[in-house]
Amino acid sequence: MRSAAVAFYLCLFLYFLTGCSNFIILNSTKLSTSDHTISDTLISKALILEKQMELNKALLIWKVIACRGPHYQTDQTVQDKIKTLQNRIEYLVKTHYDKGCLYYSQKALEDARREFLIILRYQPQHAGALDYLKNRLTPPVYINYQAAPKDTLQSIAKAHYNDVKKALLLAWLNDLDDQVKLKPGTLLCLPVLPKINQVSKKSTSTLSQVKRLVKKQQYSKALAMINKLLNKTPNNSKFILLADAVHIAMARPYILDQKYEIALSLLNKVSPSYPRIKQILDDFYIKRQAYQSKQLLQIANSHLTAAEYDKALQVTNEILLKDPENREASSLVDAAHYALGRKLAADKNEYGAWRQFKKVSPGYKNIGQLMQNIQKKLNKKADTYYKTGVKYYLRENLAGAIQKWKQTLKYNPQHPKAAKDIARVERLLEKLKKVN
Amino acid sequence: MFKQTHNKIMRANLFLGLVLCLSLMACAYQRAPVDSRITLPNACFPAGFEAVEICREDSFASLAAFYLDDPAKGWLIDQYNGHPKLVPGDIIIIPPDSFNRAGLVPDGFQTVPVLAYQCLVQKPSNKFEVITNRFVEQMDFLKENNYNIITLDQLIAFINYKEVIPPRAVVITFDKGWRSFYKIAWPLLKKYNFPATLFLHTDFIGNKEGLSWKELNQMSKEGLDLQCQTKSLRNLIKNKKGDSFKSYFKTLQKEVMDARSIINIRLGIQCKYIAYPYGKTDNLVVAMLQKLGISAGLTLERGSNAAFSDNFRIKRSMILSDYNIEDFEENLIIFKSMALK
Repeated sequence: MRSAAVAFYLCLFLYFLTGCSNFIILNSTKLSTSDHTISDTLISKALILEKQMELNKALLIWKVIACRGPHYQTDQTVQDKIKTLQNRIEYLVKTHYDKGCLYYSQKALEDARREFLIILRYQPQHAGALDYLKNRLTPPVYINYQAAPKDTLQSIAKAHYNDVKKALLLAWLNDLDDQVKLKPGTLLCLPVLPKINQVSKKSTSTLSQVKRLVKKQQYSKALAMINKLLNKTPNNSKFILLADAVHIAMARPYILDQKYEIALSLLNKVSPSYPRIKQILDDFYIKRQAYQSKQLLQIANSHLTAAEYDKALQVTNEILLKDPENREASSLVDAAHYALGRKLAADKNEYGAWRQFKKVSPGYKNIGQLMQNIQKKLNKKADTYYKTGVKYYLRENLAGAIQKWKQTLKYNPQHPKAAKDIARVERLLEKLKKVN
Repeated sequence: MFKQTHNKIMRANLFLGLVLCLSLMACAYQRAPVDSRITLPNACFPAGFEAVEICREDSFASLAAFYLDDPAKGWLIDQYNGHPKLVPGDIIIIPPDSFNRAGLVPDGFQTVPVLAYQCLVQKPSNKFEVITNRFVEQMDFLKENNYNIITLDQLIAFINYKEVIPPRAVVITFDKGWRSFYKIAWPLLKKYNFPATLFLHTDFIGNKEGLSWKELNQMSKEGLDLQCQTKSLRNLIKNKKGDSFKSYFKTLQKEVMDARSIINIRLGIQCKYIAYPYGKTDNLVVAMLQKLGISAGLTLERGSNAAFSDNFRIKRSMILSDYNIEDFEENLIIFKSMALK
């Protein structure tokens, strides 16, 4: 009776211990499951942010994912994503800055402002964009002027404002005495004030002569005449409009001949006030982009045919960076990864092949079948590494075991035991360190 | 026999108690909290950013207090993370308070309206006098619709790209220095806890209808921001007929310098900003103000202000007596749509 009671209580005790150990195991499993869930949530969040063009936020989330565990740090997909996003941000900043500067030079200030604001979204401390936004895009209050020999404040006031009396304003603003002689080279701040603009009227006969030349498509002669007129009356809106029309007419044949750089140099001379100039420029950029993409696609295709997969991918990525919607480039990327993957698989580099196949769009050719085959082989390799790791563990070579299990995860990130075992052994190693 | 059995039962009970204690201890040990907060290594993050795991007791204010040294900046963390629900165990990013100083998002940017009031009265006699009840209605509207009333200093820091401001930010200003400001407006503003700026027309101060220096001193101590609106409230860009440029320019200087020095002597305040009389300005006025050390000027041009606005042409919307709440709301433009992607 007594021994039966002892046995019963002993069983009860053991049951409790089992319960506790189960609780510990369950707890640790829960933690790692929730760990994975959090990373999955973060990944989907990063992808949504990327879609919304919140690239910096997306990049940061990918970095958080990379920091969350040893296998994420080494996961090539995560690292690739980080690199791609960094490159994309860098590229966008550069492109928008160039665009902004171009718009600014064409006096399309609202468009320029938009481009510089986009840059600040990606790079909030971009000095160039900030300088344009704060200093150059608002009409200046001052201009700088370097005094020439024989300049006086009165002569400068006369030249700039048609008003000698404003010499006293210049003297006060520049901490000078208005009666003192100016030293040549002195740098002065001149407020930008309205000046009565005396536009001289030119004979209409010259203008009609220019119009006749334009009709006959004798653009160079017409332009030379307009420039002469503009030298005398720079603000004459009729002459400016005519000069703009001539520049656009001159650019057209170059666009048809796909000589885009010459065409652009002519279009850049058109004043921003010309009606529909923005639309003309937008159409021009679309045509130039399509032409450049076509040329690059040809190059990529020739690389692909010559089995130069890396080069083909480099070129297609360049196209996709500028034109992410380009379908031909996307299918070329698929073809390159597919061919490279098959080549690696033939060379028995299953992991390399798997990485390439992963980058191919899901519906491409027989990629699903190929992926399954490769995954099976990788799982086998992973199991071999896992078992070797277990052997190391039993021989008390803990570092070696961790290394093998990490290799297991490389080949099969979903391996049911490797991640848990690594964590367990790492905890053990930490405890050992503390004891030592 | 009975004693022996009793002893056995006692021993068994002791044993059972011991087992239970051990089990409970083991479980209790496992249930103890491991770490109150996990901060991920941030060596690879951009400067100032941190990623932290949410704890049960966290709120945006507590996170802002801990990481940004200012619980009032909880909105910054909330906004950066897309207004999430704080779930323990989730990861949240703490941005630095220098993040997104221009209030930019993919579909536009933040703008700040500046409201201008002249005076509050019970019965208006002109369009610039706002009925007190209407003003109360407007302040209620701001409060109920979660507008954040910021100071003029905050707005200037935003325009100078130095400080991030909360979303739905609005600035409240009053002009001239009517006595009703002390009696009606200021107690109401204090009740709502709304900061405000009063631009002083110094010749008007001490008059029958104007505020007294004593009242201004008291309100300044209570937190009212006082700035200058020139000495005589003359139109700064208009030269009187027959006046030479020299006399016009001297008058301009006097208008600003005298007003500033009077405010400085009477209240010990160095004015940094000016509200242009009638909202009018030009490059000559701006050049002179810059030379005199003024750092911003406010017009009466309707509209809101972005981070890239001109310091000396800050837009301000005058609230008129016949404005209903819809008219008032039209002046609260807090966002400008623009594709920024």
